[in-house]
Amino acid sequence: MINKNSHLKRLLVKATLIKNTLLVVKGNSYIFSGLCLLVCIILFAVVGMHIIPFDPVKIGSVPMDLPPSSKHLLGTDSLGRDLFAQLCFGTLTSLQIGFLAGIIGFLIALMVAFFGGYHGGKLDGILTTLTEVFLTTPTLIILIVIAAVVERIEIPTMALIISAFAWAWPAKTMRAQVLSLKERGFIYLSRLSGLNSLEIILKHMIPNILPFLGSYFAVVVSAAMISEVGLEVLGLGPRHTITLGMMLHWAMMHAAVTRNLIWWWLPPCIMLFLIFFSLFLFQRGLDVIANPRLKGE
Amino acid sequence: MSEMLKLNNVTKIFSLGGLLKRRHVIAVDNVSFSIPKDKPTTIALVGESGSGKTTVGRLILGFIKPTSGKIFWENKDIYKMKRSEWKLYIRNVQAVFQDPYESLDPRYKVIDTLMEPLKKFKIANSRSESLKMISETIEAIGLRREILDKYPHQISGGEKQRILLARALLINAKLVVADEPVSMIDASLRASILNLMKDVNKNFGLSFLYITHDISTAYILADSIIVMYLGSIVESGSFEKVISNPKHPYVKVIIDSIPLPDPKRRWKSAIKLREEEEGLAPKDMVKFRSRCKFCDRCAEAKEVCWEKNPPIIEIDKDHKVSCFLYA
Amino acid sequence: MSLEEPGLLKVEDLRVYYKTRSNPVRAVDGVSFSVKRGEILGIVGESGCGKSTLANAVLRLIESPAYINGGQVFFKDLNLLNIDEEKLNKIRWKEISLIPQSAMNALNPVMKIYHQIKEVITDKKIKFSDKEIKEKSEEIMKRLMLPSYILNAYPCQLSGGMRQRALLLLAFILNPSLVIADEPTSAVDVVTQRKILEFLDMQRKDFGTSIILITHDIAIVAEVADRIMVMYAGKILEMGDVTKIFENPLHPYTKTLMESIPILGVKREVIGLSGLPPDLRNPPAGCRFNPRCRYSRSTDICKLKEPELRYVDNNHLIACHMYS
Repeated sequence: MINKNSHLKRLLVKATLIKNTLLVVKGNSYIFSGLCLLVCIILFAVVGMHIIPFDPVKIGSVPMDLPPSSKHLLGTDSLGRDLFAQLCFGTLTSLQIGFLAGIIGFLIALMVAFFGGYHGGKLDGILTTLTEVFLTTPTLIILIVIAAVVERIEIPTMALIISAFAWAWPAKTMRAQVLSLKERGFIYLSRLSGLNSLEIILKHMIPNILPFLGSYFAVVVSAAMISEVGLEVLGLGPRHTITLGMMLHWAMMHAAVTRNLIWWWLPPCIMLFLIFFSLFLFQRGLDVIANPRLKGE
Repeated sequence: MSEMLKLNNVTKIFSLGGLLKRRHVIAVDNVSFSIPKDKPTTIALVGESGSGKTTVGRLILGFIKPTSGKIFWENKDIYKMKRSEWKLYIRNVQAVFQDPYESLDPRYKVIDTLMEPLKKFKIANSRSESLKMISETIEAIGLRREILDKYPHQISGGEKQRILLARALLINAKLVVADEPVSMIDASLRASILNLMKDVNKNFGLSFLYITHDISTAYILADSIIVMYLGSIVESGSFEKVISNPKHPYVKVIIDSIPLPDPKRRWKSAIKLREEEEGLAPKDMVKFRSRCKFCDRCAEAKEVCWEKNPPIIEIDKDHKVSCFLYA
Repeated sequence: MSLEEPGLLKVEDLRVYYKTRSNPVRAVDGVSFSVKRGEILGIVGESGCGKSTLANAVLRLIESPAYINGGQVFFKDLNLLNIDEEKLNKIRWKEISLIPQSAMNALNPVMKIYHQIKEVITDKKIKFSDKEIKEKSEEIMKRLMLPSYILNAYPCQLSGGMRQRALLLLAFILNPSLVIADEPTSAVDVVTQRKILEFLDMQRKDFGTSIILITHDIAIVAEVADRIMVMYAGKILEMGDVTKIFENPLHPYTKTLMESIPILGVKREVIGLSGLPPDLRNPPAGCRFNPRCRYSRSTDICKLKEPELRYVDNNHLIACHMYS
């Protein structure tokens, strides 16, 4: 009888382990490919920057309006700058701004969600109202106003401005998770174990919603990058450096579409698409881990 | 006779709704009882859903604050305690919840879950001492040491509940608030947990407040019983006395309606209850509180039942009832 | 397994399995029983024994990943597993109704109770006038001890016990000949439970409705059922007249069930089982209860051969090698 029991238990353990691994791998194939793609993009940009000798920012450093050739792989723009160099440098800068804004926004959202959601009461009421206000304001318009007013936009300023509106959605969603999580038995029992609220949040709540948090982070970064590109295409971006959005801005300013200068406006679009796609894969993979029912049968 | 835990006129009113439309729910209304200190005891707190029994448990555990009234632990008001005293109170009063599947952090192995309170309450001086205490306690409750390395999803519901009891023993708690600890466990598997609780009560000196709607399982463990209805205590006293000679009309109906596993002794007489008012939310909170809560369903209600709160009558040394029929 | 009398419902060797990545879970594995007119059959078992799957399979209400792997279900000479969906729909709710588990959450939250009753009736293309509907409803409501105002209420305005009874009202309004009630009292208080059980008894006495009462609580079967059927791991272990079996439970599992329930007023030790039910993807060869049986010995027919459900007495069947 004991044999059958332990045999059964070993079977159960093996089955659960296999199931868990399968889930992670399946999620992982999304996560893995998303991360791979992102890493490839970054590597491409970094390597490209070291290979290409041209300055992506300095106006007039090369002849203008040259089509792609062996010397200028993507040609040059109407301001006399090599486009391939711009692509590489711009990718890195765009990613910098996007991730910086995403991280700041995510951290704000995290604090609002956990401190408001866990404690409840008046603090929660105030934070929720604040969140709702930020959620319902027409983001782009305000961003435009702010960006137009700020005189010299650099990378950190840009990131801060964007993060101001990127935190509201994840804050609301994470708060919902916190509210349901805090009613679980083991959270109450950790209070009876003498833990204070910070310890409970860090040791018991966050580890249990890590996949969700990762997924929300990817979404925040995507949203930040969209806001970033939106502002930049309108010209409200950092002017003394180059980003993918600014590339598109300059392309539009110089009628690259009408002039059929496809090598100017198409590469940054493709690059942006690849970045968003990699973030999407990463986020989808985490969704599958967080919510196994999405796997379907 | 000194008291370990004492509730004095505790009331809890929940206000629901938003800014414009507030609704008040009186979950617990003027409840007073105490748990003695001299010897370990099990008190059953019985009632149906909506009776307030779970809210009483949460008030005792400090998860919510009473709207009025006081809770005393060893004669100290728990809301006037200093931080160190409160920590001691929390350590002494532990819990077992209804859903074993939610009671353990799924990311922690059993051993880590048990280590946590030991570390926080500074009970053991070293890790090896903690490990020793944990192993001994696990074996004392009838589980094997191998379970310490497992994750919650690898062990059964019954084993999880036993681990919660082990936790209370480990930190030398004095009182365990057990809220429906076996209702989500199959009938044939309940016996081992109920027997363990009985054993822990008698041999390890741990008192229990056993909250349930199922009087039959309470019968196995409890020495005394408190019956609640819509937030008030209607009858209390020694378990045997109350169930063999119930006085309150509600308690009489409950005990009569418990199904017996004997086909030869089926229900004969009809239930004595008036049904017209069942389920209607009381419109006037103040009026609702100043009358007997059971009067609109009671078959033996008199006019006075609608006008005043019923007094607490001592039928016997350990048998009290709150009803005008005995005034 | 065949019965001499023509029953109302006759289930023969029903098998319902669940698809998994590995072997299918054999949730109901060769179950045969019948239900006569005007009788209450109590099906008792613990979690995972297959009783709810069985209830849903009778009306072909099971969904992927569950599937029927064999067997027949005869209702008044119709094989419910063979007839087409349209015909089966005519039978559902009119001749056989099912009260699912957690029924109190099955009411439509945005319709008043009266309209839900009306919807059920018009859906079956029965033409009752509003007056008739009200009369019929009120008759049943009186038996259920439901106050009259519930007809005009939304489900959220009623307590859990009242919603449960409202669903019973819906299940009985068309006066079906067979009602399958899956845990009709597990989420209600003791008094409401009694009302529901007495109502089922009344329906059986006054209208000859047959009822299959599925529960894990053996005590409520003792209160109202005529026959009891004990299920474990997808199989029937014991079945027969309720008084006989309570007086003298033969199967070791049934005995344990009887010994594990606390009885108010009777001071005794409760004894339970240890271990867990078998994994139905790989059920043990031989008797499925054997690993937890107190009478099992090390070399045994119990481990090798599965016991058949056999008559040990008139109206008492048992699947156990100790009695064959």
